[in-house]
Amino acid sequence: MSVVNDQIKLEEETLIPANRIFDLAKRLLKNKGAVLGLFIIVLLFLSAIFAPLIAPYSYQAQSLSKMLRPPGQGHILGTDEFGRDMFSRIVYGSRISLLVGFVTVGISLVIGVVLGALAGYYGGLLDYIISGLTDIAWSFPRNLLAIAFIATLGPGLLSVMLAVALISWAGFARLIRGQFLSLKEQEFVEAARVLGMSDFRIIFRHIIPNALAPIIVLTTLEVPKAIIVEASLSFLGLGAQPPTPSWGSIMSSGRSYIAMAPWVVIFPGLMVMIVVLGFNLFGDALRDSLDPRLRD
Amino acid sequence: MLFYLIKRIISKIPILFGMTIIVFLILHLAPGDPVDMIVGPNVTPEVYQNIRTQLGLDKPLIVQYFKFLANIFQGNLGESILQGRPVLEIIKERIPVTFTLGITILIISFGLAIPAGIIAAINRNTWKDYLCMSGALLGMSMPTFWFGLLLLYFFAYKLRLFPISGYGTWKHLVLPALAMGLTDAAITARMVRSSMLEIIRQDYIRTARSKGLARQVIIYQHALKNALIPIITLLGMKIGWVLGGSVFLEVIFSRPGIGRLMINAIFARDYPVVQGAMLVLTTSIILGNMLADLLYAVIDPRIRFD
Repeated sequence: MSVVNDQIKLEEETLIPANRIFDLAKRLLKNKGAVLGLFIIVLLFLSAIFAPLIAPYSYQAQSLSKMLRPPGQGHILGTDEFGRDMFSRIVYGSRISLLVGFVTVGISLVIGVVLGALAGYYGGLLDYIISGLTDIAWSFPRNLLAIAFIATLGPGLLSVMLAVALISWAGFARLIRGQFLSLKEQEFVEAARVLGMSDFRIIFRHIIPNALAPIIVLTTLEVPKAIIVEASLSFLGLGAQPPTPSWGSIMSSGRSYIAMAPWVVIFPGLMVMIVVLGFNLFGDALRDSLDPRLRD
Repeated sequence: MLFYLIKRIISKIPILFGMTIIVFLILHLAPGDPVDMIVGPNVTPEVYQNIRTQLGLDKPLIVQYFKFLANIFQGNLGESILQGRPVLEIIKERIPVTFTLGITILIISFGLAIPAGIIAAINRNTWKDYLCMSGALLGMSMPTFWFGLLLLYFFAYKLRLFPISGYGTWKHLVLPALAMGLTDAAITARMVRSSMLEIIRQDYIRTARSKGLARQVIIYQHALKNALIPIITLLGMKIGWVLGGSVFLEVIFSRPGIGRLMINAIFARDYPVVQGAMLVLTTSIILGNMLADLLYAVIDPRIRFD
């Protein structure tokens, strides 16, 4: 019974206390970059959730009499080559960006945590094999590797999500392995082991909660990268296919009309930039708040 | 130094093999039958079987991989389905286009980033530093292809200062090179700044300062030399980044490079060309990394005299 009590006490001690989260939030709110970044992210979420309420038109409602209309005249951001409202398409496009950003980072996070934890916790031959694989994946240029995967899977949004997930896990695996290597030598892990806890419990209840800060920072900084890769691949025609309104695919189809209707390309690209900037500002501020030594 | 170089070269071997496996699997993991993909479904069973045997597809996958590897070592990357010519020949024609762009991007990027990073570091927390850091954040957030489209619109369509597309003169090179060179310079400047800041805090810089050495001497002879070491590593990494990014620029500016060839081949399902282009691009990246390792060893005496 006392062993169980000791276990509970140890787990309570190793978890991040609520006042630390409150301190972190206070520090973040003092940082102008973090506030701006958070504001952009919240706006993006709201736009994705309430797209049908915000968008004045359906994203696929065509009107050939309104083709390539400049901003104004009932269409705040103009219309595209099929007379579709650009504002509505951009609002719906936020759904694709968020979906790709979070789903792909979620998948790569799971792969990275599992592989990184196995390598860092158990070491030995397993570490050697996993680290070798991670180094190989890490050495490939992201865009080329993503294109290689899509060449295999065929163009489409699902292919892009899988490709981006498969090119992003190595960063997580490296980070988590490093965290495990240092944390597994700590006294609280020794104590958990002495109390007879299973490896699974030690990894998920004791080590991972203590490695959460850098994982959260990396996640925040990986989401914008995924959004840019999706937009770039969709721009090449390898990602979301028409009429799905991904920001990259809107630019892809609008590219041929750039000379007479630059708004078809300017606004979706601007959205990608603002959203990525928002995540980068928030991610940078989060990293600085969690570890001021990394500020430079 | 020799030991270091051998170690670095050996460390690249698994990466090279990993790359060949991925490139090999592009054709074999693609949905559908490879023969159908190459000749279409409307062929007689005899022709189908002949092509299957010709391509070695009737052999086990591992045998096929080693044959693929042996062909690569003999410089045989197969034949383009679309053009009916050897893939290597097609790629060779396009190498100068891609490499000229890549090298120009690196020159612009590092040419701007090194002075900007140094200025930001030695003027920390001043407007120069903030300008450099804001530029870096914008550069990191801006999709390169979008910046390329903006340059194309303003400088080619509106101001008519540069050609809209094509290849051949220096004017064709300016916009695509600036599109990536400028965005990349912003990111690189941030790293140069970090590297310089770290060096400036070292004891030997304090010693140099206390000896009364001129600020310029301290910055250029003591700090910059050491700050350059991580920047060289960055150069090696950038080669991959630039070659990967040039794919988009070649598409936007209709430059007949390897990247555009590869994208067109993906849509045409010309798999031998996709594999060949991917192989050449990734091998160049690995060779670029090796070159950076070599430079690293030449510049850093701790490695040179090891």
